[in-house]
Amino acid sequence: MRSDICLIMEGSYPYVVGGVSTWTHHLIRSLPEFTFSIVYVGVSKHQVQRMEYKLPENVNQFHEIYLLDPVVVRSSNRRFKRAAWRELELFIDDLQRGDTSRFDLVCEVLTRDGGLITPYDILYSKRFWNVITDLYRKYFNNLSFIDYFWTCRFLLLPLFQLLYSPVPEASLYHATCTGYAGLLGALGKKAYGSPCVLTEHGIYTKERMIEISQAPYIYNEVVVDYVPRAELGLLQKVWMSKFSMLAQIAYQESDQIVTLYEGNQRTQIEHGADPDKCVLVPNGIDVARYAALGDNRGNGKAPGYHVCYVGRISPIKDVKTYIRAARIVLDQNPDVTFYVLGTPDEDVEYYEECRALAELMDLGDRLRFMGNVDMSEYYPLADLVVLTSVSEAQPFVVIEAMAVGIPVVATNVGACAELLFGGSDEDKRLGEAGVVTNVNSPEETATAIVKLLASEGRRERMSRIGRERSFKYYQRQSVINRYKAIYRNLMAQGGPQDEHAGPMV
Amino acid sequence: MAGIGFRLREIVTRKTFTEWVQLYLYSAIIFAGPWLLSIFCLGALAIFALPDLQKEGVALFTITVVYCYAFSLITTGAIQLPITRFVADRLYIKDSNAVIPSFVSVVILIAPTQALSAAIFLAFCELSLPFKVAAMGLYVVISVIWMAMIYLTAAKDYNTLVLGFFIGYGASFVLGKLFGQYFGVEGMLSGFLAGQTLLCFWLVWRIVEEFPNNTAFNLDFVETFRVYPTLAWAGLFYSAAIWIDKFMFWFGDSGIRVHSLFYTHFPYDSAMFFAYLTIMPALALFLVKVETMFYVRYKAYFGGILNKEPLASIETRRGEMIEALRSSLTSVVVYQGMVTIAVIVLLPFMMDYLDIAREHTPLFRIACLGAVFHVLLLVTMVILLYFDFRTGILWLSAMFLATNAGFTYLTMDYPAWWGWGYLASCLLTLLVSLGFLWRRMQNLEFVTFVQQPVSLQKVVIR
Repeated sequence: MRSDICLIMEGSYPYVVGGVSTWTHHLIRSLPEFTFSIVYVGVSKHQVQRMEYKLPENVNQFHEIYLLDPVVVRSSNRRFKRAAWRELELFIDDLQRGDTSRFDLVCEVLTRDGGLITPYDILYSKRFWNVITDLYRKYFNNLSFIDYFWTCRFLLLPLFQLLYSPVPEASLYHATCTGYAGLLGALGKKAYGSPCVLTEHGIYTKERMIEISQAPYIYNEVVVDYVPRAELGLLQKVWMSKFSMLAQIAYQESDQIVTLYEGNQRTQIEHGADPDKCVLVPNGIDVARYAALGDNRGNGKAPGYHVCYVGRISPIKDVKTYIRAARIVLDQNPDVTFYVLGTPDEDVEYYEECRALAELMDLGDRLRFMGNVDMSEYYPLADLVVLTSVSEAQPFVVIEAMAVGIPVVATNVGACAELLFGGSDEDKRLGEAGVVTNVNSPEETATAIVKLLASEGRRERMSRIGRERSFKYYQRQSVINRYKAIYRNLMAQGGPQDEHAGPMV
Repeated sequence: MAGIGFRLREIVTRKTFTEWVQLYLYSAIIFAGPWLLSIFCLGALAIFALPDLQKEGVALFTITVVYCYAFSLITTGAIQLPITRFVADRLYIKDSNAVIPSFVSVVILIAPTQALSAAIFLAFCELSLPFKVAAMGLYVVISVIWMAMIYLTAAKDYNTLVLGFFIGYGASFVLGKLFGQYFGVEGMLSGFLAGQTLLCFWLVWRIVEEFPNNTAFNLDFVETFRVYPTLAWAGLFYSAAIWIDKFMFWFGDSGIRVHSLFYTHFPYDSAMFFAYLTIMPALALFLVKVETMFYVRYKAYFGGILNKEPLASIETRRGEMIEALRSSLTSVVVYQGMVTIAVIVLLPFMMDYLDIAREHTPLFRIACLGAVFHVLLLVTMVILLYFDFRTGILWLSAMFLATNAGFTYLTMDYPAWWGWGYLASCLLTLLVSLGFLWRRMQNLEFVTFVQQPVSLQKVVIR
């Protein structure tokens, strides 16, 4: 079955709640004139719990690919296998020098006749063992071998799983990040000659870089500590070069490269994206709905000030800084109640740590963990929304708060400054809808909160500016219209030849 | 944040290598232990029982005990290795609560099955009822003893085990001889059974003392058979292979019918049991060498892998391990070689002493030589188990069974060639097994790493 658009999701929709998933869900629902197929790329079937979203009617196919649940099939084509291994060896060797030019050739050789080198070979063949031990002797001598071995397995197995997985036929491929999803989009394009769109909310390679430098489970021969460092260990570098390679492939193969805001676009171009292909499409929300919430703001509000954190409770959101800031604020103004609104399920251990920290800081009922709540009950009551993330793209919560008319204190990450202060010159002239602080700085966050709470006039002004800005620039319908245009445009270009061109592989 | 990029964690630090380590030392003892004991026991009783009973009586008694040993070893052969593995795995993960329930379940499954099969067999024999009852009892008790031994060796309670056997066999000997004096062959068998029962209770008592228990019954160990069917088949084939040549001689043209379904063979049986006694030094030496030299290097090798050593130093450790193995095997060959040569040279005088006609000397010599190959085969198989080469063990066991049956069949009609079948089978299987071992050692890193599972079952998302 053919679909108009094949959306490729990695670790998000429909299983994981978050910005990308919200965006995806609305995108599909708002474009009923297109049929969608969804490919979900995950780690392992055994990790999936339940679908967080009900798939819309216009999704006609749903496929799942699990990178670490190996497809145990052996190729019987011995004749070409030797040549395929040789190609792979050269490719891996080139990769050590950051050279990905052989990728096209390797893909073609490997996927020939339904896959010459299968995930089975990567896991169990003597040939693969020889390839990686030769490589080890050449480049990695003296490195922990067990870690090297697992790194090789986990670097290459997912790639082969993808090469080996069938991509559904579609008139257009839309990858929602680079990485494995981006690779799959490129493979779909190669297979059916359809155009390919890439949307990056956050910059995949950057996010991986943060993860990798903090990951204690990647062996690092230098030292182990917990702050991100400029100096990476050898294996960490290998991981990074894999993700940059995947990004390069995605940038190369995509016909249109979309991101949310300018800062990200600059990074994409630095990483090799062609500026001519790059466009900006910001996030959008149903502004009218949120504005309506803002209209009854303050009705039935309990006395005192109410400050909200909204989002998943996970390390990347740095909820601990929010908790520390709460302590500092309360020391100066005891009349404030802090709320943590969001699901603790993503990282239960971190959630427990946060609770323990709140207890240690003696916050009592001044800081409340409310879990997953209906925001339409909380937004009208909030005086401030605070965001302390160490990494963000273009957070929905800031746009939502602006639409309701709540001033925002946010860390200076991703598009936060652009959202609050304006992007274009015209936008900037509207004024400031919040305050931006440094990452990981409870004092700064606290100072901003205290000052804002002290000045009702300033809050009023910011509220008005936020509502105006969201109304002008962050309407969902305009986002949908942009994507509709991108889809129509690329399909029209790829359309005619598309009818005749069969699968290339 | 989109992207799984990287949640491939935890597996990197997963440790599974050490699980295998302890296990195979137990296997070594389990593999060799029952086999040795059966021979010891029979040798002693055959010599000391004679004055009290008629020659036919002694022969009937001996063959009954031999039957009990042979059939119980073969029938329990299939479950010994998987059970060993189950117990070792459970102890490794410190789940000692699972031990007693599994033991109780095994006994509940085995005892009635063995009693029933013994009853069916004995129904076809014209023997007195007391004798039948005693024989059936003995068969069941001995089967339970083999199982109990697995659990006790897993507890590494060697002293208790040895003491138990000393007491049990002492009692068997004394009571057997005593009862034999007054009640004939039935008495002798009952006395022997009484001693074995004492041993059995001793072992069970030690197991109950050793392990805590919550529940009485637990069939979890059945899972082990599903996961390691190769171990079950290998155990079955190996124990069948040890007895197949004897069976063929018993039931062949030159076999002697002692009573109804009880057959024996002279001089083949005597030659074989004598030969087995001569390889005691090799086995004792091997166990010591493995404990002292090889096992240390073996642990160092896998420890090196887990301690994040570079490939070159892992390879060095492998070299040291191979060297330790080589020198262990060499000393086994040298010392056993000297013993066997001495035995072969002095055999005519020994046969005079044992009151066996000198015309059988060649058979005894071949049997002694075959036993040397046999013990070396056993030793290499145990080492292969150390490296978790289960399929190799299965092939070797099957090959040992097939060649021993085949060669024995070809040679049993020619008295001058008696024993050559066993010798050829042992030698051939030994060569293949050495080949397996050599290849395994060459590919050790490959096999060790590539065997590690990838599947992420039940990994918690953090």
